[in-house]
Amino acid sequence: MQLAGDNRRPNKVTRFKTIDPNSAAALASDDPMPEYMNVLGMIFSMCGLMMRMKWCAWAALLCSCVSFANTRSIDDTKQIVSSFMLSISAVVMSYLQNPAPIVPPWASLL
Amino acid sequence: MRLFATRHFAIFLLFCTLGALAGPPGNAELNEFAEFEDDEVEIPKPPSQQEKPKVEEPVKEEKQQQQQQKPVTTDDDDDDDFGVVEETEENEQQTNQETPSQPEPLKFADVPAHFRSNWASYQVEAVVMLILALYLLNYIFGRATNQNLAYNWFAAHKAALEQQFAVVGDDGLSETPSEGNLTKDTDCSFSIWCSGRVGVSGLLIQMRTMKRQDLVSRVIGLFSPQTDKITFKFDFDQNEIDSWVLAVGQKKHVAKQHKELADLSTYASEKKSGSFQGLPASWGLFSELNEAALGVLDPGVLTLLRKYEQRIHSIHITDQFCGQKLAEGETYTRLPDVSRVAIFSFELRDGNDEVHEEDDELISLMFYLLDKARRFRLSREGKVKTEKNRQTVEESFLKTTHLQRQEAAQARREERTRERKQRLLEEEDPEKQRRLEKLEAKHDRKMKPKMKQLKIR
Repeated sequence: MQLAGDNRRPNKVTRFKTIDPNSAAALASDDPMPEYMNVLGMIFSMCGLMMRMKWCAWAALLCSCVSFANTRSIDDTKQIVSSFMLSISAVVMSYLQNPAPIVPPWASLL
Repeated sequence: MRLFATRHFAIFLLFCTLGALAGPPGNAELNEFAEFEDDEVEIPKPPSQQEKPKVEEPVKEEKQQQQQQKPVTTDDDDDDDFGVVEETEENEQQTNQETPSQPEPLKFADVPAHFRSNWASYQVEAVVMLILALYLLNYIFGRATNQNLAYNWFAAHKAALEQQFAVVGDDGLSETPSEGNLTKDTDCSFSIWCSGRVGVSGLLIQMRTMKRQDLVSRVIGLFSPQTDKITFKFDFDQNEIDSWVLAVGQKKHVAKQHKELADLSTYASEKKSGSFQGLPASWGLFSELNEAALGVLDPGVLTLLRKYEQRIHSIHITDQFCGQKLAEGETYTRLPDVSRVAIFSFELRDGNDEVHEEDDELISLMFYLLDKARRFRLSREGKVKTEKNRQTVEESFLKTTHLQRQEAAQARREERTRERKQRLLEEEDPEKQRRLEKLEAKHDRKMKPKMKQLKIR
């Protein structure tokens, strides 16, 4: 494929416009994973705190990690920080209340 | 999605919970140590009373006798301390009478051992922490791999892009257009903006790599293999291309686009592989006009398409691009803004010089197709047909939204009438009020349907 002539036009340069994260186009093309994980992490954290379900607290921590790994650079970092704080506090509180370990599912087999 | 407010509420709930847990320990359901605390309350009883009641009984009877005799002597001594001792002894007597002769043996509660003394029992916790550590390691290495892939591609093909565009890699932040910037959108998505070329206002290159930084996505990828992808989106200048819509590429990709994109689903229909010779067997073609497909995909292009059958995902050239189709049940309130674009989507490969040569050839093909699309002009019949298609879409849109627009106009009219009447009521000056009343009556007369007056003879 031969391309002839100089196609460059320095006089008609248009600037790059960052996409508004709340615009419909951005939302349509974006990956919804961080939002889902945020919500899931929050639900698990609350279960861990309120019902003292330790596995829920650990699951919340995992959800926070997944949310962090999938986050966009334009996103608010406060959300990630608060997600981590909530899940870590769920873990800490559940073990402060009752330091007994989680009964592993394979314990009944042994 | 804004979760921040929700999270604040969650943190508030957390503090409420902590407050409730730190409160009265009486609720046995909430406090697992309630039974220990209850035991502690009972502990103040001297253990000697429970263990040796029988032995003490005769002694106590003697004590009682002595106490009955003692008041005479204590009165003589007139000492307050002895009085206290008596009271305690009396209490002891009462408790001895209440307690059964056979006390229950002490129960040792099943207190969980402190975690420092039994690490071995925390197996589940160890597994979870191991997973977290693995996730972190995978994140660090996956992110680095994705970044290397993107930066290597940009470094290898920057020269080819600079031959075509005056500015390559503008970040849009500096006052004057800067060059050589690769913007990181996420840890698996990168973009490059190029501008300053004849016929197009700009080119947005988006590299979407696999989510190597996310262990969960990697595990999912084991079941449904994914590839790295690079997309080139050219924005044509006004009137650079005629009105036609075309999409060609691997069947699974173009079929998905046909389902999701509004312009393809509205204007383009699938052309059977028999009607168009020369396309690879695994490819599909969606076009509004056969003429456009024949005009753009010449034999030279088809040879290259066959050569890169696996690497090219899709080629989409349109004058009606408006993004994704609306979900079922949703309708536009006004016709969406459309743009003339050409979108090329390829598989992104990391590797040696051979791969880079392939990429260079694909970039050349892309610019060749772009210029060919700009030069291509539809025949008269073709123009009439495409114009008719667009008119039909517009008419059907107006028809479907007619009722909506009528309702909106009625609502606006009612709102105006209500405002006028409100103003009339609030007016304090009687002269002005009369004038407004007249105006209102005139307006009402105008709004009433005109009826013919019948003369009765």
